[in-house]
Amino acid sequence: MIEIIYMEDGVREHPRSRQILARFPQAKVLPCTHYKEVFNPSGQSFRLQKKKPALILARQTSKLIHPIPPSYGVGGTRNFYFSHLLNCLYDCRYCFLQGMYPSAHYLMFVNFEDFEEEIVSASQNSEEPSWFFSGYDCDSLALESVTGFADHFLPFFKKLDNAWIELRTKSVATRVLRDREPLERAVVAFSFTPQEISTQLEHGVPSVDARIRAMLQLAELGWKIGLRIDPLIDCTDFKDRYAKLFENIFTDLPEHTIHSVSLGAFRMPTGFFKKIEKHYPEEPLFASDLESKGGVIAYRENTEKRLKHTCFELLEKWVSPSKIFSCET
Amino acid sequence: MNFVIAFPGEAQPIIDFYDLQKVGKQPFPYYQIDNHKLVISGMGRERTAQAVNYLKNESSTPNQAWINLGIAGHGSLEIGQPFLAGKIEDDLSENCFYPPQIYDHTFPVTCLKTCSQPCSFYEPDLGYDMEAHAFYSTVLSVSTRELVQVIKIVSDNPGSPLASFSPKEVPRLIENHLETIALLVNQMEKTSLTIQLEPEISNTYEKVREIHHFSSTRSHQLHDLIRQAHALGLYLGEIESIAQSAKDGAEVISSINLWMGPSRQFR
Repeated sequence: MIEIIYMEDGVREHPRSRQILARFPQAKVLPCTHYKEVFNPSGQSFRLQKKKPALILARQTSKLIHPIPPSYGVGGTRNFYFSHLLNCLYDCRYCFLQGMYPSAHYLMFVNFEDFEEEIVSASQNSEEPSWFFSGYDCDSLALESVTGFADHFLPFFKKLDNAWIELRTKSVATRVLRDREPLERAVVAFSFTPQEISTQLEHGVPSVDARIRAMLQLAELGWKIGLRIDPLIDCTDFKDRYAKLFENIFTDLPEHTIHSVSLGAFRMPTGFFKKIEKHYPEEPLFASDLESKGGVIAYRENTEKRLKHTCFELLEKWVSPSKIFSCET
Repeated sequence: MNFVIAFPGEAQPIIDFYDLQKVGKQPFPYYQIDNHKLVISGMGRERTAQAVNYLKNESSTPNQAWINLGIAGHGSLEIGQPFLAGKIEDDLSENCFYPPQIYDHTFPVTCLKTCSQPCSFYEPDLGYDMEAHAFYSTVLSVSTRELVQVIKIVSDNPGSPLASFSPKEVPRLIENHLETIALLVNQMEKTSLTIQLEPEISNTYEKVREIHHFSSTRSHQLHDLIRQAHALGLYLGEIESIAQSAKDGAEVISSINLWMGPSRQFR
């Protein structure tokens, strides 16, 4: 639970800050002028802070939505991401956030209304539908009880006819979705690795079975489901483990509820990888047969092809190939 | 644990509790037993920074735990109440520190301002000392912020200002909280160990470098390979055998790579 809340002086009176403070009456509030004083300094240990992250409440004053490169794989022709929250409840060893941010504190931007303005503006700039991805710098749902993000943004997106939202998650905290009518232009995307991999690398994440149950509930209620088989981890019994995972996911999931399935092999910007490797020198994943190419650490080309090809073949049994997308390295 | 403490009266309870032995007098009184070290800095920023630098030179191991302990004024807390500094300000600097609070403890966490002079004016929810900011800024070059903490015990407050405080009371203020301080010390030390590289890795690295010459680049490669072999659970003694059979550093690197290859797949 949150024990320390750092609060920018400028958001002290913001209604969303007040709501959050009311949820954590025991938390100690420490004032700061700007979140960067707490979040950005060098000489912090992401690994150690993960033991007990604090919450930082701040206002995002720089760019609020960002274009997504085509290699992302899913979405439309106009894709953006936006981050109301930096960092994640979970502690996945393959996650690039560990290398991207100097701090593991949860940094929440309370000025949702400013995000909305930019989203409206971007979606009105073209007749093409715009896609907005919310789970890039955090899990979209895992900290819903703190942020109220989905509860706020789903009604907002419901009113936009030209905008899609993808919530990407490993959480089973889906009540915020179950308690409302499914949105026509929303995808709830669940990320999976086989349970054997998840146990070793996805610390604090609900079990694969629990997530599948949460996903099936939403599908039954009419929510469109995305499957993010990303990152693919080259491992012993690769084919058997992923075959079992897909069987568990797809056996009870009606095909018409599946919006998309994306595949992406483990990859990471080299600079992030080096930092993370320093934090976790004992992690076997980082001793895998990887190579650095074009500023990215990834499996060798043949390995990546083999992993993806195997999964494509396994997936074709369950889902139309037109719904399967590859995220490029 | 490295303790940096301004006055003998504040240090004595810690010296007694850990049974620290005096090992030096100059330039600062210096006490030690096993991995516990304590230096008595004297009052103020400059002496604190010098004492930290002195203690830094006593050990080359990075990311050790550090605590600045002492008495402080406070605008809200009761006399005798210990607290941890969650934010450290300075009356001469705009720069603030926010020691990450990752430990389980019962201390209140509050803001602390380091002042140039003893302070007789108290703001609510703010502590006052004369060392913490200099301590924190000086330690940061050798330790990650989570391992650097400031514990203060309230000696004066608006109801009982500094002028009425007797220095004779200092040891008792500290003694009352030695057990809870020790719990924090223990956690910080354990945490420090979690981010130290396994000595087995450095030992193997040094042994292999004694056998062959390695260029700077190959030295890095060698260290990475030994670390990876350790991460994969491989027996590092095998690397020494490989090095002994190889004709030069390049062959050592390629042979270790070949040996490790089949083990690299994630389980």
